[in-house]
Amino acid sequence: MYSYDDEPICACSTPAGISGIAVIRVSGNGCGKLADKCSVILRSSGDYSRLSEIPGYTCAFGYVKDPSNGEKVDEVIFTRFEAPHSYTGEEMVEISSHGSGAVKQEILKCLGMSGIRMAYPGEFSRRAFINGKMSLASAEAVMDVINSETERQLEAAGSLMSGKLAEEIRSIEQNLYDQAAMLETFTEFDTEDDEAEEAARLETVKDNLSDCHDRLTALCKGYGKGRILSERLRVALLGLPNSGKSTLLNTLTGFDRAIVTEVAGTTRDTIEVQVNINGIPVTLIDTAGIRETDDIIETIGIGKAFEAGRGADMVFYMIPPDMTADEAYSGVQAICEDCDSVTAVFSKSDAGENPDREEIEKKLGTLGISKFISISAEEDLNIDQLEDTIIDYYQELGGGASEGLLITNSRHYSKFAKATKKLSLALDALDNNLGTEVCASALRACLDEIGEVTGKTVSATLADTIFSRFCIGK
Amino acid sequence: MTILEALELDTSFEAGTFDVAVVGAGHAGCEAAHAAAKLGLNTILFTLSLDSLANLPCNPSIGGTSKGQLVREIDALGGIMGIMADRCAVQMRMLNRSKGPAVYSPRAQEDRQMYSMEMRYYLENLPNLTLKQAHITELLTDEDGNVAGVMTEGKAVYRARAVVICSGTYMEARIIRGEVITESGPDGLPRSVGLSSSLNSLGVPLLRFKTGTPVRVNSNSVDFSQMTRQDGEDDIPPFSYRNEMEGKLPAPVEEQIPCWSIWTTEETRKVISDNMDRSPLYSGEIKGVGPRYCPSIEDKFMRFKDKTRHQIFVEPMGRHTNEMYLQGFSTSLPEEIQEKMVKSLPGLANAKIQRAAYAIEYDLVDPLSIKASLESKVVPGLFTAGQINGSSGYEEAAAQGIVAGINAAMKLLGKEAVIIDRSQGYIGVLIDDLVTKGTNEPYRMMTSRAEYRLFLRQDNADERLTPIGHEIGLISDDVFEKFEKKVEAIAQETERLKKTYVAPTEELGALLDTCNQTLPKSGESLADLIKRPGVTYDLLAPVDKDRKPLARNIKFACETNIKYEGYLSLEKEKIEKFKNLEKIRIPEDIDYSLIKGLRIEATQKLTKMKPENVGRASRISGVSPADCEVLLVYLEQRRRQNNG
Repeated sequence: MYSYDDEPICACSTPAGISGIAVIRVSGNGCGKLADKCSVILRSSGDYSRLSEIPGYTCAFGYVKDPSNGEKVDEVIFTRFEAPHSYTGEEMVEISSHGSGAVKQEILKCLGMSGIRMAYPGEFSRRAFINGKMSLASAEAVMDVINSETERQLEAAGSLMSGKLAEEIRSIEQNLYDQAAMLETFTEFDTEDDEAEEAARLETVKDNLSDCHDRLTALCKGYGKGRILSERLRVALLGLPNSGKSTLLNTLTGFDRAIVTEVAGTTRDTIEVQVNINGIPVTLIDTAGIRETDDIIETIGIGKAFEAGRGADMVFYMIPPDMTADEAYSGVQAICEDCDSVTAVFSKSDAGENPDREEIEKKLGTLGISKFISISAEEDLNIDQLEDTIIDYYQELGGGASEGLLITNSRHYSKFAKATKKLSLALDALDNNLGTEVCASALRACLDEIGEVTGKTVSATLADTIFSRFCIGK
Repeated sequence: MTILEALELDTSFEAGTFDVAVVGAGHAGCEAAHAAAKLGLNTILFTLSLDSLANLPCNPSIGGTSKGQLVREIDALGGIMGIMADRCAVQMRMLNRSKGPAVYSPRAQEDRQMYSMEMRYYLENLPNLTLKQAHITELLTDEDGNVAGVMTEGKAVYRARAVVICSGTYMEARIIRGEVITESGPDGLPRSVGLSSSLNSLGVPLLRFKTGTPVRVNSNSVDFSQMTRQDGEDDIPPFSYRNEMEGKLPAPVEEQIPCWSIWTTEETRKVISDNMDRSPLYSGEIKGVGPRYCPSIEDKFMRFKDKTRHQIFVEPMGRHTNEMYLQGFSTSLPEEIQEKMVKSLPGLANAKIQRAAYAIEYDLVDPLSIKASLESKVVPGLFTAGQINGSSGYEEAAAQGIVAGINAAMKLLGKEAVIIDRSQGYIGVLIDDLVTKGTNEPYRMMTSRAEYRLFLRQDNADERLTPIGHEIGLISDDVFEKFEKKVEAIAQETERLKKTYVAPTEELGALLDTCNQTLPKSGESLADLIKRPGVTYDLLAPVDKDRKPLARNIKFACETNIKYEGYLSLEKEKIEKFKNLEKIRIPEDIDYSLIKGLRIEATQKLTKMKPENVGRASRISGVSPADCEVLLVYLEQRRRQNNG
C-alpha cells in the first residue's frame, strides 16, 4: 500500500554498482537520533559520542555498526545537516562509506533496523520540492526523477526477484493468502461444519503459518550470505608466520602476487587477490601470521589479520608440520567464533607429515572444524581438494545451478524481516486464542510488507480468494 | 428534462416546493429523509406504497457480522435504524462470541410489519417531513443542469434544490421464477418505470444487477421436532447507544421467538441437479449480475460440488404471522420445482409455501459516477443511496441513506460535505469501496473489507462517530453529554488498571491458575494481568479492591483496549499513515492532462474518477505510487503558483 509520511528515510545516492566511495543519504526530522543506534563516533570536531550530537555541517569519523550485535560494518564519514538548511529541508545525515555493494546494502540494513525506512523512488527530490528547497521550475524535473527511479527499481526488483527466490516468495505469499482467506471465512461467517472439524482446520492454518514463518526466517537469515552471490566470496588464509599462506595464495592465483620468502613475518599487511575458481568470484585474503609479537608494524598487520578472518566467509587455517596441537588450537580458537567454515590445512606436506595430526584433528574438532586437508603448494598436491571446499561452500549457499534462495537486496531484506515479526504476532494471537480476526489483522500487516516487494495489495486480492474458494451462504 | 419543459407538458402542475426530495422510502430513503428533516430542511419523502415503507422484503432480520456494526454506526451518527430495530426485534443475539471482540456483531430477528408501521408512524410525526405516495418518473433540472425537482407519473411537479434517489431494486425491475417473468417490484409491489431512463438521458451511467429471495412457509405446516432450536439472548447491548444509555435492553429470552436450523438432504441436491436446465441463471435468461456471497441454493450446489449439504435457517417473520423465512434457500427455479425442493428438507415434508422464491433484476447507477459525499459527479444536487449505488442489504442502504441525507442538507446549508473515512467506520469503507473501486455485483459489507477492523468495533461506534453526529446537529447536547461521560469513564478506568499493582498473593495465584497462568514473582499491574491469555476484567475482581461498579460496556471497552493493545497499535500506525494522504485535497478543477509526469493510464483513470483527495486517488486501480508522488509534486507546484 502506498503511504505518504515524513518518516526518516534512507537511500544510497551514488549510482548502483561498485565504486570507490558511496554516499548514503538519510533524511527526516529525528533521523540523527535514530541513526545513533547504528553508529559509533570515533573522531569529531568536539568531544561528541553520538552522531545526533555533532554540530550541523561538520563531519565525524566513525563506523556503522549492526544495532543487533554491535558488530562493525564499515568505517565511514558522517556529515550532519540541520533543518531546514539541507537538500530536503529536513534534518539529514550523509554517510560516506566504501563503495562495495555489500557495504552499501549492509549499511542500509542497519539503518532499517534502527527505524529508518527505505525511500520510495524519487522521495528525496519530492520532499525537497514540497519543502520549498527546489524552484518551481524544477517540478517537472522532479517528476522525471520519480519516474526514472521507479523504472530502475522495478528493473532491479525484476532481476533480483527471479528464479527460485521469486518462486519461494510467491509460494510463501500464496500460502499466507490462503490462510488469510481461511481466517477471514472463519471470522466472517458461521461456518457450516461442526466444531471439531473447525478446530482441525484452524490447526491447519496454524501449521501453515508457522511453516511460512520458518521459511521467512530462513530467507532473512540467508541475507548475509546472499550478498556474497551478488558480491564475491571472501576466503582468508590464516596461520602463523611462514606457515605457507603466501605460497598457497600464489598457487591459487597462479602468479607471484604475494612475496614468498623464508623469513617469518614478511606479509605485514593483508593482501587481497580476486580470482575466479570454477567460475565463482572469490577474493583471497592473505594475512599476517597470527602470533604474539613486539614488532609494532607487525602488530598492526596481525590485528588486521584477525579482522580479515572475522569478515571472511571461509577461512583456510594453515598448520605447518612443526605445529603442536596446543599451538594449533589457540591460534584458531578466536576465529572459529566468527566464521562457521574453517578448513584446517596441513601445509608443506612435502616437508613431512605433522606428527601431531591425530591429536590436532581431535582438538580442532571440538571447535567445530571438520575438514582437514593435507597439501603441498610447492608440489600442487591436493590443491584441487581445497578448491572443492570453496565450490561446495558456494553451492551450499545456493550459488550454483540456479538454486539461489538468497535475498541480496537490503530493501527486500527489511520488508521480509518486518513481515516475519508481524507473522509471529499473528501466530501469538492464535496461540493465545485472541480471535481469528486479531490474527488476521497481524497477518495482513505481514502481507502488506511482502506486498511491497511483490506488488500485490491485500484488500484487492483477499475478497477474490475468499469467494473463489469457499461456499458462503447468507 | 428541465423543470420548464416539465411545466409545459399537458396536465402538468406545480405540486409543491421543498428543500430536499427523497425518492424511495426503504431503509436508505427513510434515513436520508430523517437526517435532512432533522437538520432543518423542508423535506418530502416519496414512496410507491406507504404500506410498505421501510419494508424488509428479504430476510426479516437486521444486523449480523459487519452489518450489526453498520447499524450501531448509523445510530452513533444520529440515525433511526438502531432504535427501530431495537423496538421491533423478536429475537436478539450477539454473533461471533467464539471469535474476537472486533467481530462481535449484534443481530436481531425483526417483526417485519411492525417495523414498517413503527417507521411510518415515526416519520409521520417528524417535523419538516412530508410523506407522499407517488410514482416518480422524471428527475428535473434547471437550465444549467443542476437538480431542480422531480415529476410524478401524474405530472405533478415538485421543486427541490436537492434530490436523493433511493430506488432499491425497483427501477425497471423484473421478477423471475423459472420460465415465468413478471414486470414487477419485489413482494408484489409496483415497479418504478421511467426514472432510470430519465437519469440516463442526463448522462448518469447505469448498470443492471440481480438478487433473489427464498420461499416463506406457514409454521403450522412445519415439524420443528426435526430441527435444531436457536434461542436469543438478553444479556447483550441493544443496537442503539441511546437505548443503552437509558438502560433499554433487549427483551428477556423467554419473550423472544426462537429460530431453527436444518441441513439440506441428498434429495434436495437431486431435485436441484435434475432441474438445473430450468434455471434462468443457467439458461441465460437472467443477465443481471448476482451476488457471489449470497448465492441461490442451486448456485451453491453447482459451484461447490464437493459440499453435499448446506445449512438452512428457519426464521419467524413477526409476532402476528405464521410465516417463516427459509434463510439460505433462495432460488430462481420454477415454482413447481420449489415445492419439491422445500419438501425435501427435514421438518418441511408437509410445508405449505405462502410465498414463492424469486430472483429480481433491476437498474442501478454505476457507483464510479458518484462522489464520496454520495452526490452525483454528473448531475449537481442529485444524491443516491442504497441498492441504486450497487450495494446489497438493509444496513448498507441505511448507512448510505444517512450520509446522503446529511450531505444533501450540508450542500443546501452551504457547509462542507461530511465524509466518513475508512478508519472511522464501516460506513466509510462501504462508500469508499463503492465510489473508488466500483462493483460488478451487489456489494455486501464484510468485516474483511475493513483494513482497520480491530478499531471498527460494535462497542466503540459512538467514540468514532458521535462527535460528528453532534457537530452537525443530529445528536442532541443531552445525548452527547452522556456519551462524553462514558468516554471519560473508560479513559479513567484504563488508566487506573495500568497504575494499580497487585501483590503476588495466594489469592491471585488461585485466580490465575484457573486460566493456566503462573503467579508473577513481583507485583504486576492489573493491565498487565489482563493482557495474559484467558484473564478477564471480571476474573480479577477479588484482588482489585478499589474497583467501583461500572457499566458493562465500560468494562468491555477497557478490557479490549488493554488486551489487544499490541495489535491495535499495529493498526493505529497504519491509520496515521492513511490519514496523511486523505488530508491532501485535490481541487475539483484539476486538469490531469497537464501533468506531464503521469502515466497515460493514471491520467485517464484520475480524469474519469475525479478523486477528492490523494488518498482516494492512491486506491484507484491503475494509479501507481509513482503517480501519487508525481501528483503530490504537481499539487505543490500549483499551490505555489497560486500563492505567488
